[in-house]
Amino acid sequence: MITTAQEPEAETNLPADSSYKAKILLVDDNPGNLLGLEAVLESPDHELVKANSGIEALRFLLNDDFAAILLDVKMPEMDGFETASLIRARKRSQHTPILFLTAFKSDEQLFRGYDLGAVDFLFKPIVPEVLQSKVAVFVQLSRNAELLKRQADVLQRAEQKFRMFLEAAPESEVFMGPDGRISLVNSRTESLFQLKRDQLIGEPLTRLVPGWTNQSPSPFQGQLSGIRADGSSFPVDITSSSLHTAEGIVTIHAIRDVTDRKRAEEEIRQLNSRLEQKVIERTAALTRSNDELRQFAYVVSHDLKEPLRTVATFSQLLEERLGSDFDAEAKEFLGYILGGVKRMSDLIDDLLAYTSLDAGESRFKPVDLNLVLKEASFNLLATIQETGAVVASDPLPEIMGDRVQLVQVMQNLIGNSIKYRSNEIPRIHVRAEWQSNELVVAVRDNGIGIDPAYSEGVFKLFKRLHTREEYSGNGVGLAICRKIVQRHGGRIWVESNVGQGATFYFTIAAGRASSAAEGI
Amino acid sequence: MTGPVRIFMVEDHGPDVFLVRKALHDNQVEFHLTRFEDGEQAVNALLKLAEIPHLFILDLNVPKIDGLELLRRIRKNPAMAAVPIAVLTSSRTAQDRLEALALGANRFITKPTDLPSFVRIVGGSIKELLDLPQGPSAQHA
Repeated sequence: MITTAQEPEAETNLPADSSYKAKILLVDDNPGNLLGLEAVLESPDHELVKANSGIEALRFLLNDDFAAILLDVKMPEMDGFETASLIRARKRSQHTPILFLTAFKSDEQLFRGYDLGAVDFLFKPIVPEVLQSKVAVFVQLSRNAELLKRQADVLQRAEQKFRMFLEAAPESEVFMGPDGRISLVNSRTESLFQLKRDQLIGEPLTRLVPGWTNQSPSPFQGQLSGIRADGSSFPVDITSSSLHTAEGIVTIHAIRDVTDRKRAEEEIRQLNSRLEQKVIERTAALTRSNDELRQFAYVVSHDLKEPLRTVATFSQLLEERLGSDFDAEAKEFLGYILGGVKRMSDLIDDLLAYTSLDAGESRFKPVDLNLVLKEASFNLLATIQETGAVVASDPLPEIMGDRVQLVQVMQNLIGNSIKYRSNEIPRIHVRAEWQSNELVVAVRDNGIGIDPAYSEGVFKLFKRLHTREEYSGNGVGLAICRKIVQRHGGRIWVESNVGQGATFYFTIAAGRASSAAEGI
Repeated sequence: MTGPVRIFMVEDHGPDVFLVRKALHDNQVEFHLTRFEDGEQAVNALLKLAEIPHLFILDLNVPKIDGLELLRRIRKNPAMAAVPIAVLTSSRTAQDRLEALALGANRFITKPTDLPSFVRIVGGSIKELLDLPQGPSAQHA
């Protein structure tokens, strides 16, 4: 031990900051001897404290620790052995190394000295090198002891800090030793599982989490069930990671009670499924009302028109039977009857067309507007020929839409332009241009025009600006146009002045039509 | 064919029976028409039928047993499987037309809404079905 401590590399174990300075207590009743010792031992490595008697030495020992005590055996009042026995009696100094200084080399003295815990004897006259080297050993020992104490303090503080953090952790922390048994838990673990620490230490993790099967040291994260002391279970999130230590693999499990989160998730799930159920019910209700509307349309087409047909055919039968007896006025009346029937019949057809726009599925496909215009013109052929109308257009693009419906729009607009013509030959011009992400289609005519005051109203169902005597029509055509355009994600409007012709504009959204076209 | 043609007509709407008679008359068809007001009457009569008619005229929308069901039953009866059937209805839906023709109707006529058309179209169609010579008034049927 002594030789080891004397090895030079042991010096490197000294604390770097060396705030610690070893103290050596020198005890001798002879001031000359004390001066001699001081002269030999003077060194920046340690501090020398001098005492003239055993009593004084004991006084120093009350308040201080020493790396070593050099004790003169022969002193008046209280000799070295007596002093040593008192030094040993005190707990604080019971291990402090004592070197006796004596002039006599008697066995009795040696035995007594060693008996009192002496570490060594130095015989007078003192050889300085021997004294220096012996003291150096004790200083080194003292330093090492101090170093160990400091390291122990640091370790203890670190341990305390670790325990504090562990206790403060919001989740249950469970440490599992290399034997796979619980070695450490925090207080959250106790409260979470309603078990005391000592009931847990040494138990397997399955005591807390029965479903735990992971044996591999790789990190784990999952959801399992925790079980309390009373046998009740609750959902937990468990995160595990392993640490390779000198003792083997230590696994740390962080266990979190997720009852609240699970409940919230369950509530969300239930709300979602309730919402889904509602959507299904609403969709079913809408489908039902759509079906009812279709049914209604069928009933209207069949049952409402039936009486009209009878009125018409039997009026004609009357004319056939009594035609020769009919005067001009009676024939005029008959004309009114047949005209009324025709209007009613057309109105029913138009209303059907209007309502079935909502009930029908949209069939959006690429549509060439040039062909749409051609088809609309063909449908109006009789009227166009009759009035000599001229329908012209710029090249028109292809768009996504419902061809049949777009033909209807074009036909209604051109038909209107011809119907509300001025004294001139009707001239209708169709053009279209892209403006940002929509196509604007313009249908311009040279007809009688529309008072701007009514430019909004004309698109309303049954809105008419003229008497039947002036112009036929039932106020459904433009309402149909508006509905179709809306189903194509667009708008429709008119710019006009009385006597200056009118231009009807409508837009079609580019690409897929908007949700307005989804048919509900 | 000798003598008047026997026609069974199922129609709940009296005026239309009158119009059919007029159409046949105006087309110089000699006929004997038996009219049933609903499908049930028609079925009962067909069950104890002594003589098989030369032609059926069926409205689709008749009480109790509807026209399409009647069509099905007539076509299932071997004795009447080949008798011409004209469906005469106010329906103009493609669905009804397809179904009626699929069940074996020979003609699907939507009731014309004015008298001259009724006489021309209904009369002409019936003459065609009975393989009678077409008169000048039925050329465009």
